[in-house]
Amino acid sequence: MRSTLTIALVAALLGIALGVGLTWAELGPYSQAPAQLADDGAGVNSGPLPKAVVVGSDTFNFGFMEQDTKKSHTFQIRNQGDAPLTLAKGSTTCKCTLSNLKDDRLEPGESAGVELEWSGSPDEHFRHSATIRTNDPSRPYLTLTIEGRVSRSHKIVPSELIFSSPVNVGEGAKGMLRLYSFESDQFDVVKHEFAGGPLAKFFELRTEEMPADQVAEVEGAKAGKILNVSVKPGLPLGPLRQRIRLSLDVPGQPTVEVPIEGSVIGDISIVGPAAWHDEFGLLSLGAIERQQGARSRGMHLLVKGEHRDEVKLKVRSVEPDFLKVDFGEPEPVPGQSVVKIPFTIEVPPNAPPGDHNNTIERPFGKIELDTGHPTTPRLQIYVNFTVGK
Amino acid sequence: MLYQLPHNRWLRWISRCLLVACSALAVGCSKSPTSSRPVSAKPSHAGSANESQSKSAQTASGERSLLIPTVVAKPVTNAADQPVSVQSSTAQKRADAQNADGTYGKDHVDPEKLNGPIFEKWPKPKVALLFSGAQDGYIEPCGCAGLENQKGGLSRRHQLIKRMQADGWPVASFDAGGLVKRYGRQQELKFAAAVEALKTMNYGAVTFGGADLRLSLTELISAVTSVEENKPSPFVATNAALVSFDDPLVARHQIVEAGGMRFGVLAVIGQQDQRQVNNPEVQFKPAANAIAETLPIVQKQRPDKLILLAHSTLKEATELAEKFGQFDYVVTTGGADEPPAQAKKIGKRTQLIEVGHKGMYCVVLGLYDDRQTPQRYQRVPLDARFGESADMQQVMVSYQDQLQALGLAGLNLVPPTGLPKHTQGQNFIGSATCGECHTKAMAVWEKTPHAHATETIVKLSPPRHYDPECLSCHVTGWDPQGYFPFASGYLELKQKHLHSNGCENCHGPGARHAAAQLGEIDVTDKELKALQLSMRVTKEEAKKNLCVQCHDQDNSPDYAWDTYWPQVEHKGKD
Repeated sequence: MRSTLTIALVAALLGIALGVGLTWAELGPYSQAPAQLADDGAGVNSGPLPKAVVVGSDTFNFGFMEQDTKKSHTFQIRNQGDAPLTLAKGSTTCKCTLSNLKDDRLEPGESAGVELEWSGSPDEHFRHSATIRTNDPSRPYLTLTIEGRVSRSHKIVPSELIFSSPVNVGEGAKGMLRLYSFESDQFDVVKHEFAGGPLAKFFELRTEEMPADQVAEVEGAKAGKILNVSVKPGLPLGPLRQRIRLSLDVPGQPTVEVPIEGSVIGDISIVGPAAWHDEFGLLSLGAIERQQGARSRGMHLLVKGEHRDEVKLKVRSVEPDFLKVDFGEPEPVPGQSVVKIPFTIEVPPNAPPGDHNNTIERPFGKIELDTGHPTTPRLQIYVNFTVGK
Repeated sequence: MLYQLPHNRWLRWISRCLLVACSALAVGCSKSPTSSRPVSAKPSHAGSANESQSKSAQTASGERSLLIPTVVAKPVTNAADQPVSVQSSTAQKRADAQNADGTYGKDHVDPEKLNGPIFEKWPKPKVALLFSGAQDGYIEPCGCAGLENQKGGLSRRHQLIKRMQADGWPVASFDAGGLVKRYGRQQELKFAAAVEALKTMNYGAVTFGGADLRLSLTELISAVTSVEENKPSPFVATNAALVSFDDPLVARHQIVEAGGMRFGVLAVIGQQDQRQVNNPEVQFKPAANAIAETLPIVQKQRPDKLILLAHSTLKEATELAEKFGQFDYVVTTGGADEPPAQAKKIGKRTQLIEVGHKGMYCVVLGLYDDRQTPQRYQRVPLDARFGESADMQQVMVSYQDQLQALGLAGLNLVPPTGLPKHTQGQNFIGSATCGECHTKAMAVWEKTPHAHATETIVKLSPPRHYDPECLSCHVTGWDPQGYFPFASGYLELKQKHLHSNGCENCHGPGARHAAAQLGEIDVTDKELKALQLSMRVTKEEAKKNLCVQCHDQDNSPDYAWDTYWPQVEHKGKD
């Protein structure tokens, strides 16, 4: 008990001494003018005080400005108090310059300019602000704001063409883009190309004039084109990634690029239990006891469409080569124009130990099948597994 | 709220002395080294880190078997994850802004001094309404320029909410949609992670953005459907339906209760955002028609306030506010990245509230039973003052675990048909080979952060080297704005020669050029020269097209060619 009291007493004395020192260091001698910036809002409010006033509004709207041009506005800050006003820059989201200032200090009655500059960015609307810290206890922070809009020569909607629903390889798909001009009453797409390599031949573009009422829906638009994108049948199954590049005859002759994304599925689909991940074409057999091996259950190929009876499955390649694939007899699904072909994938007993988990050294197992189907001649199935030692 | 020192000099003097003495006394008598940390006197937030971890694990465990792992609750310790006052002192904010290792960034500055104080002179509100939206996929700010310099992230948003709650403020949160901006498997995982985060933050109402509705129907349904009994899904969409309006999977309106008040919420997607969507399994109605149908149903329930969440352009939201003057608040994702300092009044009743973009800000309204000041408005910059939330850290860990489990193939970035070639048609060889001849350029590069860009993301917690959005600028051989690898580009950590933001990311793949120079392949003099020329990049090209591919406004806001280029300036061969 006594030792606790002693510790408490010593701590209190030390605390008082430390407090005196810290307070002296923070507040300084009484005669000193309140020159430091307000810190935690607890300013000194006795004696002569500075008073920060923004002349006019603390927000300036540029209206429309051209992209990649610069505009600036100078706000005037006046010291309407009786003591020197100290200013310091806080955060800015644009270029901010404090001008006409000696040592960042304004004597009573003096004014200084704070210039905010912005380069028109690709964003349609912009708003940027600068925080100025002051030693005015009633207004320790001033926020100056510039805002406006960047006028663009054109805009395309959507900026990416996404086929959210998978494209059927035998049917293709259609999508629509809307291209608006904000400068010209008339414009044309003078050239277009699909930049996705050998698969570009599966894409087509047809341009038509946009009706005036649709143009009017977009603020500031003067003309518009509707771009109809067609995806032809026959794309390889799996992820779809393409890019359309448009050249316009508006000022500056810009090139507009629109990514096209989605996925392609075929008349042939694979269904299976939880271990089958359709979106990746991946069968996950997991960890396998080496002596026992493993075999998939409940896997079926479903074939729809007019070519469903032509499908004759053959194994084209297997990696690693110990994987086994067996097919059952095709059978029609009652009441539907679909043929069902059961199949199994097997890791036989005593297969070599190792991981096949999608690394460079041990990639997924891969099975390629020839189908005999005219639009989906080949199928790939990945197999994820680990054979224990 | 923390004790404020009085303004009078002598009182302040005495108070400071007493405060320090008391603190010292507390330290002297306490066995716990953390007990001197100033925390709010208010009760702490109910969701402790441990609770939330087990909650996350439970929620995530039902997701895709095998490929996506069951989330194991990893211990996340973060001293900053404590509920302190939302108006807490600078000293407290400095503690929150600490790095995980207890240090501050080398350029640490007090975020309050940078971005200004928040909630100044706010008394405790009857209820605080928090509005967010247009997160645009930024579930965290990118750290390229130093996290302290950037705003945003779910973690800081959660800290803001927890601090308000710690001060005893009843909080109701609303999100105007746009959790993701891009498309693909990663975005589906990110959408699910963001929804999980909003549910953890106890959002009252959340709607969709156009990019959200481009995701697959399966993912949308699984993310927005509530799995907890007696806790309805916060999702609301008045003019958009998954599958059909006849049997809506998502509510067309919500009633949110907080602080003894009831808020009727409708949510619409504007026409411009509807046009981003090419998904036959999503149906739309014109926003005005859907509001006209639904508003009377909500009004019959006599809410205290009516809120419209409008994922729309500023013009569309303004028109809706003018047309439906019954709304108290129209919250829009339109407008600029930075919300204005005040709400805009439209008509007699309605206030138009912009929430900005990329999740950098929230807007908080304090409502009061006070005729003179019935409402206060605060634009809250989500900066380093808020520190990190252990709950959100867990969401990030889970998300990164899922990316790791799927791998690049599982994310559909390594298609069975093969990776796309770089536009120059060649293969990558790695910077070390370049440096064998270009020794002076290599000496410059090695001293830049580019040279350890991969290690930078490996060292993060959680590591980000399975995240394509990070890899695209932190390894060699990727499309930095397309977020996918080129053929022969980096695929996994074992490929050390493709670590770092290497020479070939700007100069193009150099395997053939190197092989030709080293005599490993036979080429004509003309082709040898052509290969050399193909690697050449002028300063003008670099300035205009190359550096900005990674140093874009989002990830590198401080980037300026004039200051950055001199730090990496190099010339061709020695």
